[in-house]
Amino acid sequence: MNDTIRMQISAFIDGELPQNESELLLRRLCQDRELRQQAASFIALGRMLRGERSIVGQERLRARVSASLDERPIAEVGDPAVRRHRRYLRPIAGGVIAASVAIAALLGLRQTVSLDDPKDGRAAATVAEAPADMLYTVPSQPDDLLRQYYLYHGLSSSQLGANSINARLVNLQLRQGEIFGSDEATVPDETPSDETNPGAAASRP
Amino acid sequence: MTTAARNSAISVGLLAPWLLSCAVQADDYSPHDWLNRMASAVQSTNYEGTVVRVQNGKTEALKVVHKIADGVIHEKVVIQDGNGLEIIRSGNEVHCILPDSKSVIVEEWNDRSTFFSTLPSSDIRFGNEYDVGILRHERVAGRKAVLLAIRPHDDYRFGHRLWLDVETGFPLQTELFGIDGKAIEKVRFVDIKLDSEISARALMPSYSTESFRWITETRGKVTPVELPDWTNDSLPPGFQAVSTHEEELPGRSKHRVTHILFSDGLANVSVFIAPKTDAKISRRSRLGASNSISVEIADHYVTAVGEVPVMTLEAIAGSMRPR
Repeated sequence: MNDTIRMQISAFIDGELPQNESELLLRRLCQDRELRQQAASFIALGRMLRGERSIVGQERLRARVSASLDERPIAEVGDPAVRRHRRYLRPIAGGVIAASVAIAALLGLRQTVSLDDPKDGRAAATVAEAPADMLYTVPSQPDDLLRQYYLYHGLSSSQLGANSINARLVNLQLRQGEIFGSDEATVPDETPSDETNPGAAASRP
Repeated sequence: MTTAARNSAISVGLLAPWLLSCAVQADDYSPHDWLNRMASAVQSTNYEGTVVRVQNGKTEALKVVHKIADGVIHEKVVIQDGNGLEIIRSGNEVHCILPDSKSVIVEEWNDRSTFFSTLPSSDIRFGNEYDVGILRHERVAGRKAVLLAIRPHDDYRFGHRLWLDVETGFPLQTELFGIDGKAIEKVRFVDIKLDSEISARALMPSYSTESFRWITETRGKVTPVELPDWTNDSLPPGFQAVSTHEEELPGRSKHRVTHILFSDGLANVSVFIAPKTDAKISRRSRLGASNSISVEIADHYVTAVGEVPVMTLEAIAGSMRPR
């Protein structure tokens, strides 16, 4: 396996290989048994070096492959084209399943990080250890308080230098909702806020 | 050899060392050098262009103009779709123009923040929770870009991909990606002019706002807190409290809220703690790349908001304790 393929596999595992290259890689793995074996060794070595647990059962991995394939747009089952091609698919199905094991190893590795990560359990335990009086609140309809929280979070985060385009636009969209709402919501009862054209930035670039 | 061919060969010969030096220079930068270049570029580069922002399957196009004159930031952002919102910034003063409702919201922004300050510049950035690497070179908006990936080591935070202009370090495209590697939010320039001459007219509002309703947004009283009444000793790895304030929310001055900002240097989570009242708050919500969850602890609503996975918010909010 050359460095390019190794880097491609690594990027694929990290979810950083572009879609078109991912498809090419998967296609190549389907067709090249030797490459599949090399890829599997590469993955196993990587997992061993990271001290991760071994890949759990092929069925689980196959299920992941299926789940992954299900994400792609497919023709309707009743589509005549699908029915026509189904019989041609049968002879190669076995090969595809065999190939899927190596591909599943790739997909599985990419997707099982959260499942295998012991930190997940720690998070769950943290929540579970919360005091007995900690209850989820009931969702409500108009949630002005939450809007203000999003707003203030954005303002505080941008002071740390975080991406402010998102925070600003989200905030603006929230405020737009307020503006389009009632005046009561627009103008807080305790804050003098309406002014007549104070003149400033908009007219002095 | 013809004269033209000979001239071409001479030109190539003369250019080759320069081209080679450019390539070597770009390749010599470490990932952290690139991030520093980016931080510098977003603060000092004048630019104008069109940005496409994709979030939750929704695509939005924005026209952006950014100019720094005498150290003062001037920006204009116009949303191309929908109702044509405009944001005009001059220094700290910002006017958000809402043409549909004939309104202008006037607010004050922190001078450090810009539209494309994509990463925190604090000393705690990247702790041990992320690694950063150069992936490859690509083209974005017709310019050569280097792709950097900032990958989290666990599932408590999202990752970032940054396409930085090779010449200037300016971020031409940014992506926030989740645990599954899929993009949660993309911001990409489809065309951009860097360090171009920007006229004053380009920064003017597109509307006459004389007849508009002007609203000044003021933030409620904010008081720093040295020793908060609430603590958390079970934070996810890498997160630490960076500031605590008592916030007075507009229109709700009777209810002061404790606002604790946690950060791992890259991802930020705000926790708001308010006495329990009749006003319910949504248990879980999502807005763009931000999530929120709210829980009740000791007769208080504890609400966590941040651009992190829900499990991180649950871990932080659920482990808040009164002292």
